Formats: sequence, structure tokens, C-alpha cells
Amino acid sequence: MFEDSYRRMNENVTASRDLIEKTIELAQRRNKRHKHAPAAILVALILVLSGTALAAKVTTGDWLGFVINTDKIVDFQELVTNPGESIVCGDYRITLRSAVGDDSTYFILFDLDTVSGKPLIGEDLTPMPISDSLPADIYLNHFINTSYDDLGGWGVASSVIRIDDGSNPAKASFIQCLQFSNSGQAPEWIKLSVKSIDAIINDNNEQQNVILAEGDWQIVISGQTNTDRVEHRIGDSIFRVTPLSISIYSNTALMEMNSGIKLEMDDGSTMSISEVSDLSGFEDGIITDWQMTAVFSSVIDPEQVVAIIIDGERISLK
Amino acid sequence: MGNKQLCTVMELEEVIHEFGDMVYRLAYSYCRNKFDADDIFQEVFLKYMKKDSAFESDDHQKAWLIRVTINCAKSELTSFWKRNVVEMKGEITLTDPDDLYLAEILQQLPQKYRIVIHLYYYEGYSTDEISELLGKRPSTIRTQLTRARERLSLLMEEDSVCLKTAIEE
Repeated sequence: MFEDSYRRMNENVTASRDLIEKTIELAQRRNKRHKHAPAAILVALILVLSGTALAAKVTTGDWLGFVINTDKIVDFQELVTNPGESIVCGDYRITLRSAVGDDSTYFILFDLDTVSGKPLIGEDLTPMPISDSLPADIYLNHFINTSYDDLGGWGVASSVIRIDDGSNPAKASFIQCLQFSNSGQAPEWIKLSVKSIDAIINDNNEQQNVILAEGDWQIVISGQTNTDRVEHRIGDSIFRVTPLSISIYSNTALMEMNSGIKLEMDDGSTMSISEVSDLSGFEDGIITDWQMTAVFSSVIDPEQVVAIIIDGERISLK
Repeated sequence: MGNKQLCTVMELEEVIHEFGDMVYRLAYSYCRNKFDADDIFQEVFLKYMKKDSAFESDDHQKAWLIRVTINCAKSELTSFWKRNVVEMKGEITLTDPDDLYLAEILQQLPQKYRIVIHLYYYEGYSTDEISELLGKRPSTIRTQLTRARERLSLLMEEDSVCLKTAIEE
């Protein structure tokens, strides 16, 4: 009986014509963009190489400069209350190494390893140790709850990148990037509640989801954030540039999630941006609040940004 | 890696025609939110477009889409902004009162149970097949299915008590 009811209910859950058309339109646009693939691959390689360098230097605690190849390194403060603090569940251990951030973005560096020194594989779940895959093919999904109390009802987006070279089968290092959808102030503390550690492995083009461990671990990070930022008001929109990210606040969507974004600097150079997140608030189906945050892969001086280029359209900030 | 043969837009249309609703229902069963399901749907088929190897069979293709949908659903709920600026229900419009009731009950189940329920009762996979799809042990899937059923009966029971009390009052 449940089966019949469930089936009947689901018959009414279908992808709308509009959604299908939009998806095909997006696919067509992406197809055209494939011409630029070599450039995109180059950017990805640079990030992986930077990450590898970072892994080698991690013990110094001063790791930001290794992620970020720039002449002008911004003076960030260490934010971790107790760097080196570990949380352990079963045989898995997460060790907090370092964290930096400003009022819209945090980068948290941590290691995942096994206490016993056994390879990082799920028990009876996969015969393939993670280290058999290229690091770039591995993603670690965290289920993170962050205290929203200080965020004025807005939220947080997170993404994670594995940055070690996979040479130690029992250990992996990651950078967790948190982007706050804030109203101007960073929270004074962040509580990361890790519910499970999943690895998504690409094995011969098959995506396999491997659950390494499930549990309930918490780390609290607190401290002062860097508040350097420059704000530009253009029409009804606000563009906020910090050393780590750019956020746009508007009452209408200025771009799509998959839009190509570049920053134009005052020396004429441009910088591509990945890691874009957006958020919209609706009323009667119409966007009333829209926010986008894009994280840089290197620290910049916010004063040097003269324009943002979205899908080829240049918006001057000066 | 084999020869790179990216899917054409025309092929994508065919795949969406065949599997679009399956992907959408699975995404919706996980997140119970139309907006997230829309995002996941797009992400899955854009990934499909970029996939560079052929499938051995329709079953293989379907299994790939299921795995990618679940992975996308997980990262959708953790990677993008939580949409809590304005309360957005984003529910699919269901008109039948029985459907509405069932949807509300399902909403109260944890995501992992909803996925197992959907794959078992709607897609008709066995617990062994679900275990392969989700990369979990068959015993874990069987336990989840049992717990999901228990939770569903409990929720329905509680609901009928509330209804009875309301009628009596």
C-alpha cells in the first residue's frame, strides 16, 4: 500500500519543460566554451601545484603565502584557537593546522589521517586506497554546520580541496574554504560540526562515494579577522572587495552561477575567479535580494581592483 | 583514459528525455526542495555532457546517473549557500490530499533513509543493488530500510493520534 502511494505521489514530481530547456541551453553554452579548455586546465594545474608546495611547507603554520603567489602578501592574523588540535572518531583523526580569513571568507587547513597508520579506505567499502587515484580526482565532502547566529540569518557556503600529493596512503591534507553570506561582519567564532567524511573517487570515470567515517566531531575556531575591504556602490548594487574575495549585493541577479568572472587590476592584468557561490531571496517568485561571492586563488590588494568582468561585460569599479 | 567522445547536445536531449524525470525525482526525494532539485538536475546533466566514455548498457548508464545525482545532491546541500534568507518552501505542487500527507511524512525522514526508500520502492532496486549504487554494505542498506519503515509507521501513527485528538476536541 505504501509502495502504491509512494509511486503515485512521485508520478507528479517531474522536471519542468522550462528546466529541461534551460539545462540544454546551458549545455550548449558550455560546449562553446570548450574552446577555452586549455586555459582552464592550466589554471587547475597551477592550483594543484601550489597546493603541493603548500603541503610541503605546512608545518610552519605560515602557509598562506604558499597558496598565494603574490608580491604583496596581506598581513593576516592566525585565527585558530588551538592549532594542532585533533578530533578523533574510531581510527580517523582530523587535525586542525591553520586558518586565515577576512569578513567574508575563511580558509582552514587540516589533515585527515588514521590513528593506526592504516590506509585511508572505508572498511569493506572499496578495495582501492585513495592514494591510487590522482589527488585532483578526489573530493572530501564534509557535512558542516556553522553557527548562523552571527550571520544575520544568512548562510555559509563551503568547499574543500585536497592539496597533498597522495604519497602517504594514511594521510591527506585539505583546505576547507568557507564563504560567508554576511551583512558586513564576520562571526566571532565558527563551529565546524563534521557529521561524516566522504570521499568521492573517480575510478575509470565511475564516481564512487566512499564513506570513511560517520560521527559527530566539533572544532571551534575563533579569533580576529582581517577587515581590509573596499566597497563600491554602482546603481543599486554594492561590490565589496576583500583580500580574499569579492561579493556583490543587489536586488536583482547580475550573473549566473556558471558565469565567467575576471577581475581587472590597475596594472592592466586580469585574474580569473573560481569558487563562485550565490544566494537569492525571493518574494512572489521575484528576486528581492541577491548576493554573489567569489573566492580568489591568491591574496590581492583590494585597492588594485579597477573592474569586474562578467561573461565578457566589464563593470568599472573606479 | 580512452578516446574522448563528448556527448552532443542532441544526445543530451535524448538522455534527458529518457532519464530526466528519474534524476529529478531522486534529487527531489533527497532534498525535498524544488529549487535544490532544479540545481541538481542541471549539474547532473552538465556532468553527463562532459563524461568522456561510453556506457556498457542502459543499466550502467542509469546507475551512473543515480550515483552522480546522489553525489550532486550531497554537495548541493553542503556547498551552496543555504537558502535561508527568506523562507522558501520550494515544494512541488501536489494536489491530492493523500500525496500531500505522504510528502509531509517523508519530509520528516532523514535524507539517507529517503534515498533508500526511493531507490527501493520507486526505482525497484534490491537492497544488494542499492548497496552497490551507494557504496555501502548490504547489511547497512537493509538496516536503513528497516529503520525507515519503522520511522514511517511511527510518524503515521503519531499523526493519526493527533488527527483523532483533533476530531474528538
